[in-house]
Amino acid sequence: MPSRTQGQNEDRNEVFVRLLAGIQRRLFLYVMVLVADPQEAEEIVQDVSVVLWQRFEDFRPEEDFFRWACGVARHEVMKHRQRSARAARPFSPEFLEQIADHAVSVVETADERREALRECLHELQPHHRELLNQRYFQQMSTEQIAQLRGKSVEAIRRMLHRIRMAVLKCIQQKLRTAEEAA
Amino acid sequence: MPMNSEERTALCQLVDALVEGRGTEEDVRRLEELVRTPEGRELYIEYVLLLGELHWGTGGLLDVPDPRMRAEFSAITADACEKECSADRVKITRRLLAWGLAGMATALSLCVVLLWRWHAFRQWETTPQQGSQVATCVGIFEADFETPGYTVGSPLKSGDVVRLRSGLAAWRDRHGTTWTLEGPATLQIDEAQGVTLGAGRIVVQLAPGCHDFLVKTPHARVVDRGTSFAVEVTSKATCVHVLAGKVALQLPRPDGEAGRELRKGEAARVGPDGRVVTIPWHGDRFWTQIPKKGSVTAWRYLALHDPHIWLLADFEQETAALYDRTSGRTCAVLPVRMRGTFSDVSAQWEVGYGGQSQAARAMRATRDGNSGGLGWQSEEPVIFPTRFTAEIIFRFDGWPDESPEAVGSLLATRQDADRCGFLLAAVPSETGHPSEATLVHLLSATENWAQTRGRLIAGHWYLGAVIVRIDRDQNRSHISTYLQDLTAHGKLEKVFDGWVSGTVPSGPLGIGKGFDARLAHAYPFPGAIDEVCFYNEEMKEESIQRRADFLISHATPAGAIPLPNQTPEE
Repeated sequence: MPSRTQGQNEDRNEVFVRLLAGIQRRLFLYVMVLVADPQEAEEIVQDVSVVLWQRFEDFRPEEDFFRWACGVARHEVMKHRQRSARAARPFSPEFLEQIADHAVSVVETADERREALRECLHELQPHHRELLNQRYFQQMSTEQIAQLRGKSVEAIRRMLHRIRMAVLKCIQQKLRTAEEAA
Repeated sequence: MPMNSEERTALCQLVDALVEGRGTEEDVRRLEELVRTPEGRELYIEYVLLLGELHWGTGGLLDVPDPRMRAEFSAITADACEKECSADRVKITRRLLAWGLAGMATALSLCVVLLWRWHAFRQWETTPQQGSQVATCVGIFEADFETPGYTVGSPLKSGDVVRLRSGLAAWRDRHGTTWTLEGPATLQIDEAQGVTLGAGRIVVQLAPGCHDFLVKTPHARVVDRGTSFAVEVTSKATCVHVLAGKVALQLPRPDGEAGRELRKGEAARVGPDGRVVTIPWHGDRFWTQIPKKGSVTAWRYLALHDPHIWLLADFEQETAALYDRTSGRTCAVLPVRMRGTFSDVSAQWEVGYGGQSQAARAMRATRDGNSGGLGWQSEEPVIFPTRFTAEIIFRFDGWPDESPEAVGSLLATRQDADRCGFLLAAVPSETGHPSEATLVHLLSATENWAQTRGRLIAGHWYLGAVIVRIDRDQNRSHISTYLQDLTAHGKLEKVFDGWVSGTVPSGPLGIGKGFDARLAHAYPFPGAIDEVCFYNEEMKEESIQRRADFLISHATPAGAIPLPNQTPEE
């Protein structure tokens, strides 16, 4: 029969896992804004997850877990910059200062943005969706896609860029419309 | 002042470059300038969020119908049914009633069919059918499959059997769980959360929040409890090494042990008799990710799979070890602080070449010339064969001060007071500038240095290779030396080819240090050592070149971001 302490620990584990699972995507997006590198962002999010667990006892339930995690993430980004030669072209501390706070409130609307993104992707022409599918879901490099399609790497990059710009414009439009309707 | 369209496009293109690893420091500075305004900041954040969502996981957005969309579709059809039904109630006549009833029956049938299909779809989504896609290939490295067709992006379906003759391949499922397979291996995909490993090695890394991934082997079932772990299967046994979290080891034989839970840092072996034996943990010998070209890990993979590999020190663990592939033994590589060294010098570790490995610092004190500093030395003697090749990946940091008598040893041995062997060392260049050095050899204490054409520049990473053939009868050795400037994306060049007096004595191996005539530790090298590898053969230049190619990614250096080009390319 599990002891009371063991039961309490399991509850704490469950609470932490539930909270972390609920913010993981937004946390990744937040770190992505600070480093502009998805692989580096993934590494940092892993480090942040460990720190959040280690400091979970300090977390007060009345706090916002996501905002608390963002504070930890900012610190881990700074540490990662110092440690990793991968961050060979890091942003300046002034730049991070400018965007870090504002990014938290924008990322908090990530669910609405994701919904808008979903709609905008489905409004794309099929061959544009296929290109995004190859690049992001199948994780093919631009070189591989260029080879597959018989086009230059630069042409594929330009196409992907135009598709992304079109999707961004669509998202902004949908969010504006939703805001006006509200 | 609001941003014009060129600035907006330039900002997004700069972000593209950075996200794809093509950006330069100049690009970063330009981007930071564009982001100074509130509009620039807003655009930057929104665009990066878009890229982030796409990188996080587009499958849920593009391919698998969203539950809300399915619900909307059902609602739309139900609504259509309702409208059809109610329209027929407006004018009640026998004929209309008949048509109305027929319409209702049709609409109801349609609803039932659609609902049935939706329900079947839901079941399909949660319980993948035979042949449904389970994962996507996300990387391959030097992979040779028995059945061609596995490429990055290709799907893996339930029921598929992967036979990987050699190399590495990795797949990721839609939750983000990744498994990396090392050949020779046979892997059958059972279901979305389980595989059967018939032979070979696999590392499973579960996505956060996931657990209960099952790896079946001929000897045991390994059930993950939300973590990462490595499994190796041979005809004799299954070995499990837990990399993080814990796993449950379940045994299929009812008369054997019930099972065991293993935690991080623990390893166990299960044989055909079902007995579980604790074994030393060697999780670091499994490949947890696909090496990327232009990285030390890619080079190391090739080195480890060379048939002549003999010794390897990779400095990845903070207790360095020299791994002897022929005997399977390891001996410690210990930091050595030289006498006369200032007291605050201790072993230091830093990021290695390419940022994806770890390197050990070798340090040179700024006083007492060649006898102050820190280097590394094997705890046990190394006995050199008549023919061997040494490779070393290192960085030169420049001499701490101008000292024409400075010697920085990269690889050295010592046998007694008179016989020392500087397999590879650096001395100040002819210019005497502290930021330059020349590579040399010395195998006899009574001879002069054999000077090579190899030049080192401070701050640069290098691959050095020394091919040695010992002629003990003549007390001489033939040496061919190669050098490649990795930082400058240089070519592999032969910088020395000739005979030197002396042979290579057996003894402790000095890495980043040497030995002086008074049996003391001396000649620290100013820089960092990432990898040291020995082969028990005179390697051909093509072999060294092949491995060297994997240290350079051949990425085209990013230039200035071009102005937007509106020419369609579709």
